[in-house]
Amino acid sequence: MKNTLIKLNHVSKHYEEGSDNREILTDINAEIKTTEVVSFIGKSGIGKSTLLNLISGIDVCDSGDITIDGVFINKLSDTKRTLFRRKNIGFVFQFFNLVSTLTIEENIALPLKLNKFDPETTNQTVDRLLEHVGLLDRKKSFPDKLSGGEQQRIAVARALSHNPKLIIADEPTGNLDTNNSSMLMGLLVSLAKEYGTTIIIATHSDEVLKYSDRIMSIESGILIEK
Amino acid sequence: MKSKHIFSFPPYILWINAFRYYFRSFTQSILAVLGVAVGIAVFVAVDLANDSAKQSFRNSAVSIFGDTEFQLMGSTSGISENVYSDVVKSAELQPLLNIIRPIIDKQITLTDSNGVEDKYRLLGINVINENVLSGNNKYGIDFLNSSQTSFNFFAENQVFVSSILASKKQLSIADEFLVEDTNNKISIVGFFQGDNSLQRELMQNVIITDISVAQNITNSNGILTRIDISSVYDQNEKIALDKWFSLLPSGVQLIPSYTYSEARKSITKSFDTNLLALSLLALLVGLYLIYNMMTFSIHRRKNLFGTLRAIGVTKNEIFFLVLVEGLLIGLIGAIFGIMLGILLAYFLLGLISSTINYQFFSSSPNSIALDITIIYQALILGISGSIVSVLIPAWSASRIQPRELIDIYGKYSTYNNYHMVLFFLGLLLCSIGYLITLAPITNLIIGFIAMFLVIVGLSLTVPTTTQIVLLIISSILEKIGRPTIVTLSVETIKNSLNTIAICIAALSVSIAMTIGIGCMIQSFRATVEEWLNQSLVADIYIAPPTLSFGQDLKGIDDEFIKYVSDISEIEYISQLGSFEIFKDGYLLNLIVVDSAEKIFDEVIQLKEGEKKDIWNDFVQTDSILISEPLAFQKNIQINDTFDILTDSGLKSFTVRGIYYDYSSTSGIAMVSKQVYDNYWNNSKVTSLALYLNDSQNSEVVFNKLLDKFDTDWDLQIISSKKLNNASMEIFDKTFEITFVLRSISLIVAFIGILGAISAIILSRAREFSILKSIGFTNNQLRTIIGNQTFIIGVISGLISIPLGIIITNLLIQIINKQSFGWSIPMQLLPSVFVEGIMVAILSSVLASIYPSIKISRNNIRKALMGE
Repeated sequence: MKNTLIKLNHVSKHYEEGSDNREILTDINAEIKTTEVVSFIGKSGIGKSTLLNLISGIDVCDSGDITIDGVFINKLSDTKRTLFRRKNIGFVFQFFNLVSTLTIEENIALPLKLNKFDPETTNQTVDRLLEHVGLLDRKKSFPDKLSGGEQQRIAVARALSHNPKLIIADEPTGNLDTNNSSMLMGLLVSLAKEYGTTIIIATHSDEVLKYSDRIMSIESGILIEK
Repeated sequence: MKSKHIFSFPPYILWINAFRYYFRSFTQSILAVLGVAVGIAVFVAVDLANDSAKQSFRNSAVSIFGDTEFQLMGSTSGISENVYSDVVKSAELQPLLNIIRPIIDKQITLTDSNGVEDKYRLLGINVINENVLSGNNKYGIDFLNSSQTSFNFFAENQVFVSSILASKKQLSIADEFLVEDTNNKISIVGFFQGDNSLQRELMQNVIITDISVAQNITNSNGILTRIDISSVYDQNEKIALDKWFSLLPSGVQLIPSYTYSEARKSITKSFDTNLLALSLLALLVGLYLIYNMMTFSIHRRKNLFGTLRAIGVTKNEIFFLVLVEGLLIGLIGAIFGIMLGILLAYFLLGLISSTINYQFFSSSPNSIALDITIIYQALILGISGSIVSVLIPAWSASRIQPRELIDIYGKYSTYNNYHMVLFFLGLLLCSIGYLITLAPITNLIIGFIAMFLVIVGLSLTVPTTTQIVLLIISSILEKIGRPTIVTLSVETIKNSLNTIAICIAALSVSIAMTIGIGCMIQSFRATVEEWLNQSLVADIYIAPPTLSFGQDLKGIDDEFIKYVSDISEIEYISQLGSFEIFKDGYLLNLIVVDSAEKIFDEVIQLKEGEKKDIWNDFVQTDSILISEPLAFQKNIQINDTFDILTDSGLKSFTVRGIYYDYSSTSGIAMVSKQVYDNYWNNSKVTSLALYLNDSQNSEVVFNKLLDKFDTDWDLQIISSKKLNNASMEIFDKTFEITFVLRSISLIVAFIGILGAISAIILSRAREFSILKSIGFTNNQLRTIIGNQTFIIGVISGLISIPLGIIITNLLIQIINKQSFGWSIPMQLLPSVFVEGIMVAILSSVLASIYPSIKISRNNIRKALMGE
C-alpha cells in the first residue's frame, strides 16, 4: 500500500489579465501517492503548468491547501518553499534549461552541492547517473556540445541527483523526436522507480502517457481523472 | 534554520558559473570594466595632477622652520624692521632673541649666465648677526663647508642655494644670477640642506641669504615679510614675549602659523571643488554604466536565474551572487582605473598647472606625487559605487520567478504595466530634483543629490518616451506602406523595449553630461565676455599679463607713471593697486582705486547697491565695495561692516556695494585711493587704464610708451581689445581641463553604449538567424541593426536635451556658484545640443559595427537551436 505524497485540497488559482480576472483552476482536489507517475493533460493554456507551479511551490494558490509529505507548501514563506524545493523536488523542463556555463558533470552536481552533499558522494552519484544516462564519456563537455536528446537526459540526471521525493516535468519531451521521447521517458521512469521518486508530468504527448500510472485532464479549471 | 539560509554563502559552483559567464562574454566584461576604469581614472588623474601641481605652492605655504608656532605679520606693506630691532635694543626683551626669527620671504625671478629665467623662493634670515653658519643653529639648516668659505655678503650679494637645487641645476660656488626686478647680481657662496627630509623637500627651490642682502636685492629696505616665533618653554621668554606683545604697533597681527598656511591653501579651494565635481560626474557616468551592464547581464541570464530558483537557490543567494559580481567588476575596474589614472595624470598635469599658473600662483611641477590617500579613495569609491549601482540589478535578479521558465506564455510578465507608473514616478523625481535647484541652496552634496534625482527620474521616463516616439514612427510607417526592413527594425525595438530603454537612458545621461558641461562653459564664457566688454572701456591698459588678482603684484615704477601722466594725448589715467591681505583666516585682494566718478560708474557693474549713492561715500567715508564671490563665500550683505587690518590698526569699513567680478575666486575688497591713504602708508600702482583724448591717437601713445617701457617688467601695454582677447585666452586656458574632462566623459559614454548595444543585438542573435534562414542577406541584417541603433541614438539625443538643460542649470547654479560664487546667466547654445545629438547618433551607429559583424558570421543552425 503506497503512502500519499501529495494532497490537493480545494485548490483554486486565478490571474489578473488587464482588467479581467481569469480563473485558471477551480476547487481542485487530488491525491498522488509515492512513486506514482501522474500525467496532467489538457489544451495549451488550460492550467497544466500553473498546477505544476502550485505543487512545486513556485507559485501559491489563492485558496485551498497543498501538502507534500505532510508539509503545507502553500503556507511556507518564499525562502522556505525554495529550501523545500531544493531538498525535495527535481525539475525537468521542456527547453532543458541546463546551465550553459557549467559542464554536464557540474550541472548534475549542482543540486548535490546546493544540498551540501560531501564531495565523494557527489562524485559517485554524478558518475552513476552519467552511466545510467549513457553519457559518462561526456562528463567534461559543456551542454552546447550535446544534442537535444542528450541534454534532456542530463536534465533527468540532474533532477534525480539529490534523490528528491518528487520530480516535476513540464513537457519533458516537447522538444524531442519520438525515439528520443521514448528513450527519455523509459530512462526517467526507470530511474525514478529505482530512486523511489514520484513523477508529475504536464504533457501533450501520447508517448509520455504510455509511461504514466495515472492520467488527469484539466478541463475548464477542473481536474478530471481519466 | 531561517537565519542560516538567509545569509548562506552560495556554493562555489555558482561562482564558477558566474566566472565562466563573464569569461564567455569577454568583450562585454571588458567594456564593463573599462567603463568603471575610465570613470575612476578621471577621478584619480584629476586628483593626482591637481595635487602635484600645487605641491610646490603648498610647500611654500608651509612654514619652512618646523617649530614656528606664531607669525607676526603686517598689513599690505609687510612689517617694519624696527619691530625686531626694538627687541635687539631692549635689555628686557633679550630672551626673545632665542625664539624669534625675522624673515624675508619672497618669490624672485633670476636669470642665470645662460640667460635661463626661473622663479625661486628667496629667504632672508639673520645669517651674520646670529652666526647661523656655525653648526647647530635654530633654523635647523646645515650650511655645508661654510667654515672654509670667506664671506663678503653685502658687497657681493652672496647667497646660499639648497644642495638639491644645486645638483638639479648643476650650480657651483661663485655662479652668478641676475635678479629680474632690481637688476642686482647675486653670487653663490655655499650650499645648505635641511636637517630632516620634510625640510629638505620644502627647501628644494630655496635660496637663503642674509636679511640685509635680501632687502637690498628686492628693494625692501627696512621691511620684513614676517617674524616667526617658536614655541615658548622658558618662563623668562614668556615674560619677555608678553611684554613685547604689549609694545607692538597697531599695524601688525599675530597669527598661528598654520592659519596662514591654511588660508593660502584655501585660495585654490574653489578650483579644487570644481575639478572634484567634474571628476565625480565622470565617475557617476561610469557607475551608471555598471548599473546598465549588470542589468543587461541579468537580462541575458534570466533563464539561468529562473532555473536556479526552481532547483532551490534562494533569492538571497542570487542577490548576494550578483552583488559580489558587481563588486568584483568595480574592484577590477578600480584597479585598472587607478593605473590608467596615474598615466592620465601626467597628461592632465600640464593642463592643470597652466590653469593654476594663470589663475593662482606659479607652479611648474614635472612629476606626479603618488598620494596613497587618493588611491584608497578611488578604490573605496569604485567599490562602494559599484555596490550601490548593482543593488537594483541584484534585487531584480533575485526577483526572477522560476514560473516564467515553465509558463512560456508570459502572463506573469507585468513589467509593461509599470511603464506609466515609472513614467510618473520619474517625473516626480525630476520635479523634486529641479525644485531643489531652484531653492537657494549652497551645499554641494545637496546639489549632487538633486542632479542624481533628475538623472534617475528622467531615466525612468525613458520607456514611455521611447514608446511614444516609436508610435509616431510606426504611424509614419503605416502611411508609407510599412517597408519591411524599417518596420522590422522598429518592431524589434518595441519588443525589446525594456532592455533598450536602459541603453537609451544610459546614453542620454552620458550625452546630457557633455551637453551640461558644454553649456556651462559657454554660458560662463559669454558672461565673462560681456563683463569684459563693459569693464574694459579705457583705450590702453598697462597691466600684468593676467586677469588674476590672486597674487601680490609688484608696483609700476613711479618714474614711468610720471612719464605716462605727461603724455599730452592721454586725457585721464585710472590707477589700480593690488595687495594681498589676510583676514580672519582667509586671503583676499585689496584693490585700491584711483579713478574719476564717471569712469567708476562706467566700469563697476554692481550686483547690489545703487551707483548714484555710492561714489561720495566711496571716496569720503570708510566704505568699501566687495566682489560677488567674497560676498557669497562670507555671506556679506550691503551695509555690513568689514574689518581690515591697516597700518593704523584694525579698522571697520562699511560695505556699500557688491560688484560683479570674474577675475578672482579668492575675493576682492575695493577701496578708494583717498580712503586707503588715510590708513595705509605703503602705496603702489599695479595697473593703469589710459583714456585718450582721441582714440585715433592710440598708435602714437603706444609708441611713446614703448620708448620708455622696460621689458623686464612683468607688465604689458595693451589695447582694450587685445586685453579682452588675452583675457578670453586665459579663460579658455583655464577651462581647457574642463574640455578634456568633457571629452573623457564622452569616451566613457561611448564605451558604455558599445557594451549596451552589443548586448542587446547579440541577445537577439536567434531572431536575426531566423531572418537569415528565411532569406535575409547579411547586408539587410546590417541595415536592420543600423536602423535600430540610429533610432536608439536619435531617441537618446532627444531625451538628453531636457536632461542636458537641467544638468547645465545644476552645474551653473550649484556647483559653479558653490565653487566660485559667480553669477552666470544660463545660455543654451544650439550648437552644443546639435553636437550632443550627433555624438549620440554617431556613437550608437559606431557601436553597431561589432555586433553587425558578429551577427552576420553567426552559425544559423546553432543560433536557431538557442546555443
